[in-house]
Amino acid sequence: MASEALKILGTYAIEERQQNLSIDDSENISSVQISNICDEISSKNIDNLTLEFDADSFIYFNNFGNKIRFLEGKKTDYARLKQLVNSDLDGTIFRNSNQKSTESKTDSDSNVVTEMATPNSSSDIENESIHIHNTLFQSLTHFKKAYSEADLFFQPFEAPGGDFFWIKDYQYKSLAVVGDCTGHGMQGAMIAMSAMTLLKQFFKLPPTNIKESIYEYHEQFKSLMEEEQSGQFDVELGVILLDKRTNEISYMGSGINMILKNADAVTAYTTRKAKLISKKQESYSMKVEAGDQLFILSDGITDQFDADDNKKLGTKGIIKMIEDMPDPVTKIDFIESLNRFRGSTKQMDDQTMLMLTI
Amino acid sequence: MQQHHLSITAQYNAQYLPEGKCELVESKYFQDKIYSKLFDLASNTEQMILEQGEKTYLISRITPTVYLEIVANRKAYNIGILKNVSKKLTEELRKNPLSPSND
Repeated sequence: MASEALKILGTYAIEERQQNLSIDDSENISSVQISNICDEISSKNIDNLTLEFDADSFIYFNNFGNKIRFLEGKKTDYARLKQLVNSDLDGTIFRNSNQKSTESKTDSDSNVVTEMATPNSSSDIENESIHIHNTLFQSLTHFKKAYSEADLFFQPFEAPGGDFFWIKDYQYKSLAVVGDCTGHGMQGAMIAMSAMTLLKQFFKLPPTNIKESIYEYHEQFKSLMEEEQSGQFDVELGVILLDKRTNEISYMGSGINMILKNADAVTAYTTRKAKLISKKQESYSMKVEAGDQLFILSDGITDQFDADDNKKLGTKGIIKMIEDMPDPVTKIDFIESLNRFRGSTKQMDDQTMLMLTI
Repeated sequence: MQQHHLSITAQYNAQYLPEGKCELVESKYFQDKIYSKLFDLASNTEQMILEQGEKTYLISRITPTVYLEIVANRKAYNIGILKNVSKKLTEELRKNPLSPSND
């Protein structure tokens, strides 16, 4: 996967006609041209625009109505970068080119496949695969049906990655899931697609007992991978079942931990795959209040080594990090804290944290 | 515009984009097009994709003055398909020299 070499990143406030550039290093276009193009996009009611240049770069503009967000990147990263812009993420995420953060929403236009759509190169195949994989993801607006705020830190080690997230909103309940599949990159993504497909079928109706449901889900996932003997292709889940009427939550996992931050404390609720296999993993139940924050995170975050490449963040480390952050915890604060912790030490696994506020 | 180029475009249109439209456009006839000003503003652009309402437009530069315009229903075709049609058609058209009309 080619690295993201962003040349331009910014927004244009339509009413104020004001441009805000986070990165400006383009050889293809000037900031004045960008402003003029944004004016034209606005006046013609264009939803989005891609300009491709003769080299390997493109500029993508997305019109949000009140602002236009744009970036310039490599064509090999087109599908992923386009979705980053569409998901309205904050530009500060992309300052470090090692960080590959993505959030996506479904694109109904991507469902048509014909003979002509056959990709021509390995990078096209990668882009198409990432695109297909990402169509299973939801935008954060789905999470905001049940929670007052929702945010996502999603940073595959290598796109598309084996981590995923999903929410299902029922009449009285809401189910939020973070998954972490074996491996990363394309292998992880292929397992993630199977895990997500099963998840969507399995939880069509709200579970009555989240603990038993997760045990059953894993049995079915095992059956799905029927020829797989080594247990190598597997998924770890973290599942919150929220009762919207009573503000009670049940948490059950198979290797993914949840952290609850309320007015009193920051508390971790840990789960382990080994416990699930030995039928010893219990679920947690608790009452939550408006303003409480829930964090479900994959082990790529707690397994992150520090700036000296010496010590992992660990569960205690992430609790301390959340305690030290301003209240309420925001994604930007979290990214800054994590970047400070790891310095220039490389990320070694997919990293995902779903942040939900009651 | 040479007749055989127009027939190649029509053939691709019928074969790959029956619900869309492929045509060759000279830049001097751009004035009514939604993208007319955009090519002036970003003069070194080789290809432009824009989505407006129900429609997707893909415009590729064939020569400095001749462009291939593909217009399709946004829900009927994804951009990957349109780009593949454009790429194949552009290659086909470039096999034979193109010259603008005299009018």
